Amino acid sequence: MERIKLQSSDGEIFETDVQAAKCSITIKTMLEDCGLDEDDNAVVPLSNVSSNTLRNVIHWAEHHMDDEPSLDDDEAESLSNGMISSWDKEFISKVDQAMLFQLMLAANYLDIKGLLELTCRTVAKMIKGKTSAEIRQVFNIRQHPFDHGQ
Amino acid sequence: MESYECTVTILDLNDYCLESIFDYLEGKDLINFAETCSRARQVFKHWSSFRYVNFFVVEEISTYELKLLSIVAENVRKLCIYVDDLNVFLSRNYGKNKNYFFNKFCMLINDMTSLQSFGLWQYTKKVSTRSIFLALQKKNLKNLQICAPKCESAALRSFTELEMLSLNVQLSSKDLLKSCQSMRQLRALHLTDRVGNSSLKDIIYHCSNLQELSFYIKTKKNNINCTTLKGTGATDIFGALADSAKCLKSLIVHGIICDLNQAKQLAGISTLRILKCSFANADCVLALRNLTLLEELRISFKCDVNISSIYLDLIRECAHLYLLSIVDFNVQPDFAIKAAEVRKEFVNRRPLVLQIYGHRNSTIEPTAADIDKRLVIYRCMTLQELLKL
Repeated sequence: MERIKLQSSDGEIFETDVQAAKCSITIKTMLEDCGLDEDDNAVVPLSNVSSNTLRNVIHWAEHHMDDEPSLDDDEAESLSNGMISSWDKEFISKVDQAMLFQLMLAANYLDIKGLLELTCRTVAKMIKGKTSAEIRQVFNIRQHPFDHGQ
Repeated sequence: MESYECTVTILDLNDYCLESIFDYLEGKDLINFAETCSRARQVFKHWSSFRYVNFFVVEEISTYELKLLSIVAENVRKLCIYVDDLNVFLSRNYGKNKNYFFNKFCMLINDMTSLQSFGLWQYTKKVSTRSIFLALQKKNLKNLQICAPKCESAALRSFTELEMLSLNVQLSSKDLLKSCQSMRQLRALHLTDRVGNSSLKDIIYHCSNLQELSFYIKTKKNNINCTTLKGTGATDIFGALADSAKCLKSLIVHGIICDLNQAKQLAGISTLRILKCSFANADCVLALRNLTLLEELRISFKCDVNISSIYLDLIRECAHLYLLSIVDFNVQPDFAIKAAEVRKEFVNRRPLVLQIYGHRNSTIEPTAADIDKRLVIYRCMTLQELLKL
């Protein structure tokens, strides 16, 4: 199986399957547009993703690389009402809040739909059923002194 | 790097990510999250900008709905308020302070800078809607619908940009004229019998872009069998419509037309595509032959005479007709077959949809199977259609 090297913002290099890396539409486009596909020693620089985050992203992607390609929006919509898989649940329960948000930002930057959905759904679950004050406490949101609801 | 990672919080997310979180929330949770801080509120405002453009304040109103409304106020384009329901909500939740919160609600309307369409329903006189209309004054409303015990005519006058006005309020014809004469863009005007209509002919003169009109005419019971009467109010209105309303496409007349002059004037509105009216005289129905552009015709006929041949005449003359809906208890059973024969003469026309409501023995149900569906499609009249008539 083809391998590829990814470099995090702090310079660490990770090697993974090309198919796993292609979970990211950003990387997929980069490989196809720049012809990096052909070059075995090419390193893809990911200047917005730290090594800790990238490690988790790769871990997630390697598990999901054989997933069916994403459905069109309507079907995705109905699927998104479904449950989080037990592997995903386990995966996301092991990361702390800061990593959860970093994963979300990385999923956004790398354009990984499944990971973005998982992280957003997890945050949404933490919000559901709570008052504004409780949400502030959970996420450590400090209100500006002049910040009042209407 | 590590220390940076430790400080990443929810507010370090970009707007796209925050909006994506909103995608997985609903109801109260949306508002509770939006109200955590100004950033969340601002992102929510953007996220919701295409979502809550139509807002209905009706039935079981909740504080959450009003909070939502206060956040999305700038985006709201259509607002419908059931004032009685709002009043119940305010009394239940704020008791003695309800007037204060009612005024706050009106201030909210004032903040709705994108508002284009407004509807108000009120059945009791418990609350004065004056402050609601004051809050609406500076808005460039395009659509306005009011169903209320009363409405100050002065409140209507400022809506000079209106394109659609629908009134079910006690309003004199004089006040209606004063309100409408500056509405040069008016395309649709719908009036119930609580609005005086004797100034309609003047309104038509001022609102020359009128495309849709519906109003009530009064029919005196002893007039039903008369064939001709000297010029009545409605005759004047139909005459004015024929002369001045050059764009009128749709006309709905509530009340029975029994005067041949009226019917002739009505048949002079040559631009009509859609017509709905009731007649108590066969000649009046026959007069409609002149409306050769008609596409939809809904008639109810109130006499005990068989005028099937007149309907066939109309089908022959109005070649563009594709919907004929009749409430008549004397239509002959083979009417649809004969209608199909008439339609045979036309080339390349879509089939005529025929709906009839009548007596059991006048129904064309038994012969329905023999009708050529390429020419005439016979449908049982739905309740909705019947209510229209």
